[in-house]
Amino acid sequence: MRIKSSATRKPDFKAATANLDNAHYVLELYVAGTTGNSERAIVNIRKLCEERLQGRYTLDIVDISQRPSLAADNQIIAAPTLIKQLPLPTRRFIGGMSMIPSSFLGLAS
Amino acid sequence: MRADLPPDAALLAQNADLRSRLQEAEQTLQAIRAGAVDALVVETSAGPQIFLLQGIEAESYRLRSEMLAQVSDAVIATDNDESVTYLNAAAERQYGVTEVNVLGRKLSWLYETRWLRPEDKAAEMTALRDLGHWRGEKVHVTHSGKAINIDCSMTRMVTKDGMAYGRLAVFRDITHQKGHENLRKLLEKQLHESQKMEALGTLAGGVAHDFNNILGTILINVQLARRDATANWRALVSLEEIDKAARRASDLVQQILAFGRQQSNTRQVISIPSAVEESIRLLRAALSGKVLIEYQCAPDTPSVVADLTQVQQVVLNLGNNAAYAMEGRAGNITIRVEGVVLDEASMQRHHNLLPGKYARIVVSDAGHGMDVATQQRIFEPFFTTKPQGQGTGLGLAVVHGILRTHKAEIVVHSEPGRGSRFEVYFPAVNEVAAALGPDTMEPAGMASEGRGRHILYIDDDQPQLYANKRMLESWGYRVSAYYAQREALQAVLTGKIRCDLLVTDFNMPGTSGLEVARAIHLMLPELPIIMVSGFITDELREQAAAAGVRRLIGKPQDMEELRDILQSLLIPPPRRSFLT
Repeated sequence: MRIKSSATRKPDFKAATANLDNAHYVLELYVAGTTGNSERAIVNIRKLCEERLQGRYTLDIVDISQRPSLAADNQIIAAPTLIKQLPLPTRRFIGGMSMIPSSFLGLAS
Repeated sequence: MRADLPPDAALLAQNADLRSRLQEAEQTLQAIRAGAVDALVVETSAGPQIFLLQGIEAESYRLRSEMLAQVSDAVIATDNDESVTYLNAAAERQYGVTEVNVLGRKLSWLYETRWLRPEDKAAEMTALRDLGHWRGEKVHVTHSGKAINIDCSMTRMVTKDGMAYGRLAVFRDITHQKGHENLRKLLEKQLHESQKMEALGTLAGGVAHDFNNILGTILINVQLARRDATANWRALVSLEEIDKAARRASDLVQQILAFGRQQSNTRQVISIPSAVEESIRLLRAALSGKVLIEYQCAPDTPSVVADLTQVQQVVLNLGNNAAYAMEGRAGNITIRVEGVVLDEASMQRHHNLLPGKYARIVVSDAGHGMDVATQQRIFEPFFTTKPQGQGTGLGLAVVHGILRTHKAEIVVHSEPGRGSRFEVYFPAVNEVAAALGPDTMEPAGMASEGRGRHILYIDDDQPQLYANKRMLESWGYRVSAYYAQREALQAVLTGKIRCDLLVTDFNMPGTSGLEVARAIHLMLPELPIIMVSGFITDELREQAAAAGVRRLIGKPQDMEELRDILQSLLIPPPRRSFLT
């Protein structure tokens, strides 16, 4: 399972790093099937994106139970794990994301 | 170690990387302890493996999800922000989405709600707040634009502490069931409408019947008074006005009877274009160029079995209404006649019409049109949108009555400000119907005086009875007038009176005119019998003929017609001898 959401345009490296208010976010969420924490993670991260990044984010949802090799390639050791690829710096967050801080995305709380 | 960095910097970077990985490992351990991780990725000799962490809560969650997945109705859970937190497989199918693509999105992203009753929106909020649950019907319009009728059952979800944390909704698709229900409601409405019109027709017919008797009395007395007032020209002028007014009232009664299907009619095979063209000629003369009438006639228009005058009346009434609707507006009235074949699919739209061939008359105008409420009432007698004094409200009621007697149908299309279109469907003539010839009465023979011949006259309406008696006596007949049928019967059957002719009213309380005629005809088969009725139907004609009635006369009676009939029945035509 690999779902891309709200992909409005291709991420532009310079634009993404220049201004966080206008930056395009590229996020990857690694889940393990439709387990409770994974579903909660999808709900929480998408709600946050819809509230704070509407129209300027790409959220890839990757089910590692279907494709474990993708977990190894991206050094994923647990699910759910969220990786912010852009804007830099790359950050990781592990768990159900019920308390995911805005600062994780580099946003003012 | 990164080659492009100085040795110290490389060590620092390596250190930072290790710290970061250590932090991630610690965070993972914390998440595992907190129960926030469902799976671990472990490198094995066979490659990376996923190990699911199956706690009690996870197992319980899995069971719940599996059970809800089996439910055939759509189940959707939302949080307090109306963001979707769960949806089952049935919901995925119903709304054409996948769970991972919907989780975390607002419910409004999934569908748009249309309320069947606007007040339900507030009722749902109030019920959820006060009772914790709500059930009702609404329409969901999905992303793809598909409208689904929903039976919705919504429950507020609360924690053990009583804190609301969202809603659980079960949405059952009842679109198919709703379609059947709508059809049933439509049929029920049509039945109700038909029963209402039937009742109105009976009521109006009953009133018209009594009114007919009164008018008959007035008209006869006018004739008698004219004779007595030969030298008084002032009185004669007044009598003339009374006569005119009574005849106008009589026309009105005929219209009411037409609505109530109680007017006599003469069926024959007629050409619809000919009937319509004659009506258009009359309409054009009446409208005197105020509105133009465009006429179109398709060569395939079939003939129908109908009363010519009544078909013309239908077109005249529809045309007059169209002209009224066009007042102050530009445009023409269009009248089109054509042949149409209705199949099963057409029947779905016009439930009263059976599949088959029809002659269709379409009267369209570009007038002010009608709203739905007006359309529902236009065929009711005395319903009019015209200002007081400008319309009787009988035009379309008469159309309705005439069409019912012809097993014809009318379909109305109209919108306020966008004109109206009336479509009339007459069943096309078939072989059986074509065989039916005209059922007309021959005109009366030549007049002569009564010469003291004895007439037995029976009518329960005393004023009318005595007015008729006086009129017949003035023509030289001797009249025995009875308002009680049984007394009259006894007098005839016991031989107390011997009469030359019997005139009886049909509609009388107790013994009807038919029963009186039957009894007397049995005893005196040669005695001519005339029956008078305001409700002459084909059925009554047949019954009257079987009971020995020679002539049926409509009410109010045309006294000259009665006079002619009396003479034709009482005075046999002269014998002719032929010399060879």
